[in-house]
This record gives sequence, C-alpha cells and structure tokens, in this order.
Amino acid sequence: MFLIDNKTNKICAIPENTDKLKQYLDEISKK
Amino acid sequence: MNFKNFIYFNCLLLLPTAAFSQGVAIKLHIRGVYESKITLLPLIGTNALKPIVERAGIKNGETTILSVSKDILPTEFVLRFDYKEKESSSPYPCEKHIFISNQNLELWVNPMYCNNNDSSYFQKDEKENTVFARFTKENGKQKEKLGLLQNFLMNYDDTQSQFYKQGTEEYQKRRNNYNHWLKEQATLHKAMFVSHTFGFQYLPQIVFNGSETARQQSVIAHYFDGIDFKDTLLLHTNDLKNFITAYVNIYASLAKTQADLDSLYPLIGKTAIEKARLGNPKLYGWMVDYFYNGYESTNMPAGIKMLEPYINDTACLTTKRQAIEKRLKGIKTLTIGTLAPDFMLKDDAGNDVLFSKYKSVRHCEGGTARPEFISGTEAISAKYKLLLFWSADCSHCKELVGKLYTWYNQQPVNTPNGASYPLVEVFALSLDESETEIPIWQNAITQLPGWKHIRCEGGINSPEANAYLYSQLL
Repeated sequence: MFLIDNKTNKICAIPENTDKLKQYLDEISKK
Repeated sequence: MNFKNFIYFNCLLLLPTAAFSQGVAIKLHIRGVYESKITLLPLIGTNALKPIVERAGIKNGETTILSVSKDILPTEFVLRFDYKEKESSSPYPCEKHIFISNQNLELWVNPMYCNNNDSSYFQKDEKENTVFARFTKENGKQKEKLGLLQNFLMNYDDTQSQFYKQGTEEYQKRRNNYNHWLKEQATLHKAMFVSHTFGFQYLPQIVFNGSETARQQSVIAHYFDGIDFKDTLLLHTNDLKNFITAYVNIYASLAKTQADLDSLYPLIGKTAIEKARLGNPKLYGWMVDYFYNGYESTNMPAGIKMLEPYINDTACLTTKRQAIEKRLKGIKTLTIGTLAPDFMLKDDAGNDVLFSKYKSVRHCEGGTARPEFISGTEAISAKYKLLLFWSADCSHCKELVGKLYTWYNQQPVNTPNGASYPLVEVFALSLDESETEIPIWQNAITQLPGWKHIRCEGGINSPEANAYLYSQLL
C-alpha cells in the first residue's frame, strides 16, 4: 500500500498492513 | 484387404497403445451409491487443486477410465467423489489421496467409504499406494513413542538431572534406530516415487543440554539433515511445500515480538535457500519461488530484498526472476519522499482525470456509507490518498482489505471549515481480469462503499501496476 500526501503528491509511507498504517498516522498526528 | 485398409486397420490396433504411452490410465469401478461425479486434481504444479479430469453421472456398477498425461507424473492427486447415495439425495463429497507414477491403476470404490481399505482398494499388484500405505502405518507406530519422548524432553525443566540425561540418551538411541529404519525403507523402495517422500520424516538431531530456546535452535539447525536437495523428484511431492512451511513456523516461533518476526522472516528464507543452493538448480529455484511468494503475499519488502543475490545467480532456476526484478526496482525507486506515479482514472462524473488531480465529490443526499464525510455537493480532498493493489479472488488480499475497511470506517474525520471528510481516501486498484475473477470483484466492491474502486485493464501488466512496479498478487 502507498500512502500519498494529497498536497505534495509524494509518497509518505509504504505500510505493509493496516496496523502499520495506523501506527504511521498515529505518529504523524503527534508531531 | 487393400493397402489403404491395411494401414487403417493397423492404426486402429495401435490407437490404444499410443494413448497408453501418452500417460497412465486409472480404471475406476463404482459401487455402493446411486451415482457419482469423479474429479482428479493434482496437488502440485500450475494446475494444483484444479480438476484435470472429470466424469459425471457414473452409476452403481459402472466403470470409467481416467487418463493422466505423463508430463505431470509422478505426483500425488486428490481423487474426489461427489456421490448421491440415492437418486433423490444431494451430492456429498469424499476425497482420497492417491499417488500416480508409471503404473496403470485399477480401483474399486464405494464413494461413501473411499478411504476405507475394506470398501475401496487397488488391484493386487498395485505398487506406489500400497507401499505408501504400509510405510505410513509402520511409520506412525514408530514415531508415536518418539514424539511423546521428544515432547517430554523438550519441555522438561530439570535438565541437569540424571533422569533427564537418561531420557535424552534413550531418545538419541531410538532416533538413530528410527532414522536407520527410514533409510532402509527408502533403499528398499528406491524404485518407487513414494520413497522420495520418506526423507521428510527424518528426525533431526536435538541438542538437549541447553535452554528451551537452544533446543529449538538445534532443531532448526538440523532441520534439513534428512533432505537430499539434489533429488529433483522432491519437486513432485506435495510434502516439500508443507515441510518448508513447517520450517518457517518453527523458526518464526523463536520471535517474541512483531519486530523480531519482521527481521526473522528474511533470515528464515536465506537459511533455507542457502541449503537448497547446494543441491539441484531446480530445487534452488523452487526455494526462491517459495519465499518470494511468501514475502509478496505478506507484503514484506525486506524479504524480497534478501532475494536479490539469488536472482543474479544464473545457477538458480527460479521462475520468478522477472517478477522479483520488477519488485526490487519498485522497492528502490518508489521510496518515501518520491513523487507518486500518476495514471488516468475516471472521476465521479465519468471524466478522465489524473490520479494526482483527483478529487472526490460528496453528495448530501443518498445512501453513501459515510454520510458524516459530506458537506454539500463539492469536490473535496482528503489529507492522504491510500493506493492499494488487490484481487478479490486472493485470500491474503481479502484479509488485508477486510481489516483495512474496518479501520477505514473508524478513522478520524477531518473537519476544517466545517466540512467533513476522511483523513485517508482509499483507492482500491483491482488486478482482477479473468472471466471468473471480474464477477467476484464486482460483488466484493458492493461490500466496500466509500472507496474509489478501479479495475486495472491488463491486470498485473496494466499501466497502473507497471507504474507502481507491482509484479504479483497471490
């Protein structure tokens, strides 16, 4: 899976599964 | 008889011989039921678990002959009976595993009891299945006690005691005897295909004087001791795949955390491939294929990266070289921070639009799955787009999509300027392309409202899959 930032159209994560997607979004929301 | 008729006559005589030389015939006598459908499915190869021969409506007392091409022999098959006990009964299945090598088979079957030796049996001089049945019976007896002793010793807590020492000595003695018997059986039946499966039963050495983890590690270190990777007939056995899967599971049981597991999987593959590399190039290639399939189905780039030296080795007869190369290119070029490759898709109004420019249009009225995302009828953008390649006919994909969809329906909603829309918008790109796959996909997406569904024309070779260097779905 490719997670793409809609503003920059750049790949911001390549999560292997839903858990890793959640983990990335949780981390990014804390920044 | 003129010359022309003579040739014709001789051709007729030769026909059964010619057909016979093309493969093996299985003559089946059906009894004990009203009728049965008979299906033969190989357990390995490109047609694994797909019917290669079917006969419908074989009645009680009737005989039918199934022909199997020698190209796929020897190997193990599932002989499936869908029988009706009475004319009014619904069909009921019974499956029997059989080995087919180079001998024509004759089998008397009561499909209701297809695995009962009193009701279903081969001709008296049948070789492969008879030898395998005898071996399995004796092997079960011999391994039962050894298994009990091994389990006891593997879990015993006082490894310094005299009792434990005596137990380990007894185990080693019995293990040696068993492995000796196994070798004798393989030699005795070396002309039989089934003898090539005996090595999978070999009991590897266990170093008992250590911790439980050390014992597990010794099992792993000696796991392949009974396997001859030069024996290409192993590729015809169904056991090879199961044997390697068991190895992966035993090795993976050493992991304490998910992070341990993520780093262990590439190592597991590397260890197994290194063993196979010393054998026949076909087995070496098979092992690379096996782990590539595993890493691809679990989306494990670290595992695919580990395969790189093997696809550069010309001695490795992998069938996945191109697919692995494509994936490696993808891993190297599609990295975090790079621009997402673009492709064309249809927007909600049916117009062609670039993926990078795509915006969803959400409507106030109507039965969308996520009405909380709606803010009038306007084009909106989620903060992120999630691009997912999948096939509705792939079990791993279905599992992944199921979990993702559950999360999607629970994800936090962004509400800048009073408008609400999802944090992540999902673009599910289907690689389904066959006549059987497309209806499955069409049905599946009805259960996934809210996502943007795109079917990529050309499947794995579509512009979308090529842009993202996707090479295989399982």
